[in-house]
Amino acid sequence: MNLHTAPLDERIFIALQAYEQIKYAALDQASNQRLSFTDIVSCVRCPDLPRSIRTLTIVNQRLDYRRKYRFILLQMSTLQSPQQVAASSNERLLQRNEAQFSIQIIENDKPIRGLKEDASVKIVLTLSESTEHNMRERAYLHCETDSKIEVVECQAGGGDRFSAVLAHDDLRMVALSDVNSHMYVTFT
Amino acid sequence: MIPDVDSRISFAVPMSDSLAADFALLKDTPFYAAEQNDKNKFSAKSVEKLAQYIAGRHYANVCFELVHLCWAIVNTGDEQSVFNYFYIDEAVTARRMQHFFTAIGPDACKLARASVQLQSPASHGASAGSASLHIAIHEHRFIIHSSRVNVLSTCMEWLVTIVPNVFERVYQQLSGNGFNAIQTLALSLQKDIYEYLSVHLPPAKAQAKFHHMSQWLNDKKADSGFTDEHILRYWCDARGREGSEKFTTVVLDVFQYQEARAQAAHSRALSFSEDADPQAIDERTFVAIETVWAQQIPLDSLSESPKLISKQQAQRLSLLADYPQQSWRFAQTVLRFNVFGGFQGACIQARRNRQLANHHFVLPTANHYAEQTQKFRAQIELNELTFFAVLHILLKQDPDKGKELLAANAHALNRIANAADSLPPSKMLSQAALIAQLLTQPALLEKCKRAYQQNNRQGFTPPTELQDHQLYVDSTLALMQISDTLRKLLEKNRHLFASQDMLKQKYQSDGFIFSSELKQRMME
Repeated sequence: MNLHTAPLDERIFIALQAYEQIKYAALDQASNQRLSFTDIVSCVRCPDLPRSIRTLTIVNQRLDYRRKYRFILLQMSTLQSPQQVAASSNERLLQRNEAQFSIQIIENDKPIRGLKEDASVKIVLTLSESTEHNMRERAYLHCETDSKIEVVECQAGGGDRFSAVLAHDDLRMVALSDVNSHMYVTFT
Repeated sequence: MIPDVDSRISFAVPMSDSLAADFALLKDTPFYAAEQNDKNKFSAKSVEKLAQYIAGRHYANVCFELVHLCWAIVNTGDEQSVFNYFYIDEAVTARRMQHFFTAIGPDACKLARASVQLQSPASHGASAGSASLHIAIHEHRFIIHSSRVNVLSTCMEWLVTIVPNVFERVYQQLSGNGFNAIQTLALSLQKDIYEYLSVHLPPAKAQAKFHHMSQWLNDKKADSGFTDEHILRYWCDARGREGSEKFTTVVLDVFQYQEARAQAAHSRALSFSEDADPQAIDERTFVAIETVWAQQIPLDSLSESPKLISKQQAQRLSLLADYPQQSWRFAQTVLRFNVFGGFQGACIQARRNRQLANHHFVLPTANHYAEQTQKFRAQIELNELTFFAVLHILLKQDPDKGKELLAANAHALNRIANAADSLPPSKMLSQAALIAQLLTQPALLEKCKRAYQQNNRQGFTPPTELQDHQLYVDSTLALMQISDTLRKLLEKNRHLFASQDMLKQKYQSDGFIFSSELKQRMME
């Protein structure tokens, strides 16, 4: 239907009807899985907030949201570790070395105090040289695989290091040690 | 009953869930880093404005304006500038926009023979809302007023949701390029929006509904449009038609139909010829639509802080607030809308709960029309007390705003004076002098003080009083418009509202129609 050829009163009526619908649009139960772009940006900027954790769960359910998340990471992150093409897909990747930083995954058989599990894993992010990021309190390691995005919060450990401790059976370990994963680092 | 043209046609006007959800999200998007006085990232007014542009299919100008803003950002920054502007710096308010472009400086534009300059009035105390961004590209000039940045940001947020790769397109097309690139990108975004709305907000059902109403009136030989009885009959005749089950929906459809006819007639009376140019047609349509929307009284904000009415009161006033020009002409429809709209709502809820039974269709014996009338009168009185309470706050904290409130209600100064048992202002004085005289009346000031002391709603107690005094003025003006609409409804329909017997008779006869109609629809 070409609106331009419809009489004026009809066009006005159509617009009034549409406005009524939009004005009273409400987020119902079925559509509360919908995210705004701002929601996803906030999630990338501060992934450890409860709202962000919920947002990431929804992001991981939709390809178009993951694409947006990745786009935002590309805008915000200068430190990246792409898919490790030289590694075998059967390898469990415990170290990545990039020009500006390295990531180590240290499997520890001894229990770390505070963790209920018997064994734990330490993630260590080391910056190669002094940058503005050395003064940051936290770094976030965003790990993207084909099917989902995982985020690990690393605390500043003095100087150029940030670290996190995960339980051995933490689900994020799968993505962290996957050779096909692409890693991004953001800071707060 | 008039046979339907095609009873299979549903009149449920479709809007996709995703479009509905996107707008619901816009209304509730917080800043990542809120500063003083920041509320939601996108103001209610901005979201409403965008909704009007979308519903009225009048988005060419806002796209053009937004692309100009993006051009200014891209050509004074880098590839990430647009993303940073809207999502990291969140420069989406007048104040933040001013801060952003001030930091960039006047000579940041990387194009030769082009400039991006923020200009503020030189006067002391000029607010950020009075600044404007001046863009010059060769001989092309464009100005974006800082007060527009929030609606442009709202539009950007929506476009990012519906248009793929918008940031990349903006940078690639605008960086280092001139006015032609702006035009090209703006047209391209309009095309994207057009295609999106064709799927998510198709106009066909609304058009069918319009034709059906016109045909129905024609068959009734009702040249002057709908009456109260026509509306009831139209609803009864629509039995079984999807989208017309609820009486309240039919009333809204009819009011919109009446408004559309009235605005079109008004527009035709003002024009000398029918323009064939699509842009001119769009413009005329949007001007007519804006006239309707401008009349609507913003009821939602009156239930927030400062809280001028309760949510229950707002519900009772919704039809009057949305269609103040129509409502007083349809007094019985207003009563039916409130009373039997609620009655039908209760039946629908009972059906949803699988508890619908015969007793749901029994008409309550109390005279609900008289009750509604009493509530309307009480609302006028309550609004008056609220007015005095607001005046007390303003005179205490910001006397100029108090005078502004009185000046905006100049037509009611006599009534205000009478209500406060103050001397009526002299007709020989100027408006400013009248107001000054009124404010010296001890009876008025005492009335304001007592009204304030009796009001314990949000915004009217010392700990909850707001700093934003303009909000008090704007909300109270809207409240006074509600009162004016209620007065007009009651005064123009005295034959109905003044007689308890008349109200009772109407209630009972309408009740019989509604209860038997609903029973047939829902139980049989």
